[in-house]
Amino acid sequence: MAFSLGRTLAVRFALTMGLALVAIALWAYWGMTQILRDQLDQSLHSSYQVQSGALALQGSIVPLPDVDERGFIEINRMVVGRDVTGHIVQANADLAMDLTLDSVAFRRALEGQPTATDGTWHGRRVRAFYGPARGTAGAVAVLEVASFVAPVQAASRDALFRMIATALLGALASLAGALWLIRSALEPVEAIARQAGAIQGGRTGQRITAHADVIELRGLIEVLNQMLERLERSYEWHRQIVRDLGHDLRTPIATMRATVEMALWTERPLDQYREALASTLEEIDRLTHITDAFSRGRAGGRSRAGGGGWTRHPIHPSRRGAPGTGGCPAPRHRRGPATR
Amino acid sequence: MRILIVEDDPKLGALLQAGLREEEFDVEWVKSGEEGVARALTERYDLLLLDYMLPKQNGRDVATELRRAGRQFPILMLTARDSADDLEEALRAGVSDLMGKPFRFAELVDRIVRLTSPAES
Repeated sequence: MAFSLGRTLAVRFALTMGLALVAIALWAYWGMTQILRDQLDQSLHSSYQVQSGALALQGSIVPLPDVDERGFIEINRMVVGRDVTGHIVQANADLAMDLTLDSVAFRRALEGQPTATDGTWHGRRVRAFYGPARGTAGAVAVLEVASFVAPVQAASRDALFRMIATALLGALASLAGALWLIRSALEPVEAIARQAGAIQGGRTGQRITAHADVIELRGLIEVLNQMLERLERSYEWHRQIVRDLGHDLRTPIATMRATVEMALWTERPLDQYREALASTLEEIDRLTHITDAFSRGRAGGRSRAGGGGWTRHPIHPSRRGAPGTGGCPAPRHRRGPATR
Repeated sequence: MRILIVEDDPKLGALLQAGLREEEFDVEWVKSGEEGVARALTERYDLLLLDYMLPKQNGRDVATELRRAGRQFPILMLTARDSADDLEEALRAGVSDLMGKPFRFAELVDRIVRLTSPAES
């Protein structure tokens, strides 16, 4: 089953690039969420510092301007002061008066260790910072500064979506680039194949020259040209064999023809006819030997000056006739008495 | 009329010699190119009947050597190789005419007569 190497390689390359880009995007997303979280913590800590200072100076938390719930969510900063039992004694807005308590973080803050923690409030995720209240203003022992994490999560999701989209676009661009690259890389091979396909039998000296100056293809072209050279030599050898065969068949035929013509040229004694027939028989044996050698593929080197050819063998003595008869068996009337 | 046959095939050589003698030519026969050159350079002949495929020195080389030596008698070459390249090569070597094998004996005699006639020479 045929398949496109170029398309396969392009798809594999694009998939690899796509996976790599997605991995990079996920890693970047994870890093970005960490940074956003740190920045949120930093922001909460800053608010804690401001409110803690205000509490120390004024004895109360700086309140938010008079806003509705939507404005409260948009400002997204809830600050409450808790007494040592954890009850809220002050808040920057009435809506924050029921802010949830994380007892572990609260206890740490009471012990003087500022702590950040995650929680939920009214079904929304919040990030809260607990720190000890400075000074001795009122009954506030711990300041809790909290913020909804939804805006940060939304920003993260948006960034993730953009990164994944970028990764997919990158994969598509990789696919297009890979197709273009592979087509460019295979075009010389196609040109070589076209040139090789145009080479015709019977014409010598035809070689592949397309893209022979490309270093990566030089080896392939050299191998193909060497193969062409071998084929050419083989073709020449076979042509020579056929020509030699033609020659070696024609010589006995010429001899036979001349023998018969000479015999018929004029009236001759019977012995001369017999001799002519015996000579013709020998030439037929010679032809048979040549054709046998050829059909068995035993083409030998020529002993003649003109080129390759066939080794001549004498006719086996058992097949020869009586001496002086030119290889022809003796006639019946010359044989001895019948023994039967 | 003296004819020198240069033919390595013993049967064909003997047949040609016998047949041409019957036609009342004065015929000598040698079996190699070297012998043919040596004989043609030392004696006078009216025609050289030369086989192409000879051991060591082939018919083309024999013709070339004789023409270089200034021998102008007609050379009739007998050859089993009758491709255009072979013919051109032989004619370039100074061969007067070629006959492809197998040939008709009567035609051989005609060619010899024609090549040695005063009009042809």
